Amino acid sequence: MKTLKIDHVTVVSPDATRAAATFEQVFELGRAAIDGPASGAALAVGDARIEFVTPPDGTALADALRTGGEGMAALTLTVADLDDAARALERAGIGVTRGSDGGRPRLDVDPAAAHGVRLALVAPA
Amino acid sequence: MSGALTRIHHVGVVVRNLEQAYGFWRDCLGLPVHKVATVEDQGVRAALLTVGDSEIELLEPLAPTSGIGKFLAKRGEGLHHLCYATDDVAAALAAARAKNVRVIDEQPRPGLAGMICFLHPTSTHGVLVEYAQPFPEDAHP
Repeated sequence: MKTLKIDHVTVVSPDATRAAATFEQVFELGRAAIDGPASGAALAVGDARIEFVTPPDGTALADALRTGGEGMAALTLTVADLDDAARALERAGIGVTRGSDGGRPRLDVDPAAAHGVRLALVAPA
Repeated sequence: MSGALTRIHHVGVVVRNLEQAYGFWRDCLGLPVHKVATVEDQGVRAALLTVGDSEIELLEPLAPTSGIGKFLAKRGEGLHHLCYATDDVAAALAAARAKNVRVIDEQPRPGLAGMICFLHPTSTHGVLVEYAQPFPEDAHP
């Protein structure tokens, strides 16, 4: 598997708009496009992004917000080839689930295998 | 030198054991280990694994009483902090303080990623934020 870069980190918040505004003001980061829900926001830092979301009930990120509180809840890495990554992980006995964010295909990795990290893999944008 | 935040330097991940963690982060994801060190004053053994222009920092506690040890006991393995790279950590810290951001470190100090400091998560929506000014010898290959 060829892992290319950090695509984005996800910050969960009851008020994603306010959290993004805080990061924009404090860290002087510019706005970026978001893969996830339209209600969220994203900021660019280098070639990566920070996404801020208020997750809908019943999702893993909503569980993260409920149990862990506001904060960084997920990491998304860009890989060269999503199908190749899926095969490599499955060969290693690691569970993966296919999904999408705003139509962009995504591979969710079993957090138990990723040392507690809610980790997603995506192909280059 | 401006103190501007130029990129994500690393994302910190707490793990129980570095060698076990390499099995996933290095061997499955293919991230090369860039640097490994014991940071006694932080109570951790840590490794930086390169991913593009950034890194994943794996943090193994040296003792259950360390800050990372307590995090592990309370929350388990997982995401710990977000570190921005800057060309002037002192200027970046001063800029944060001028914006009334609560800080953990009053002054930059040496860490695995260079000269570093931490901001308090109560000012940043629960995100523990670190600034790092990398040492010149630690430039990415």
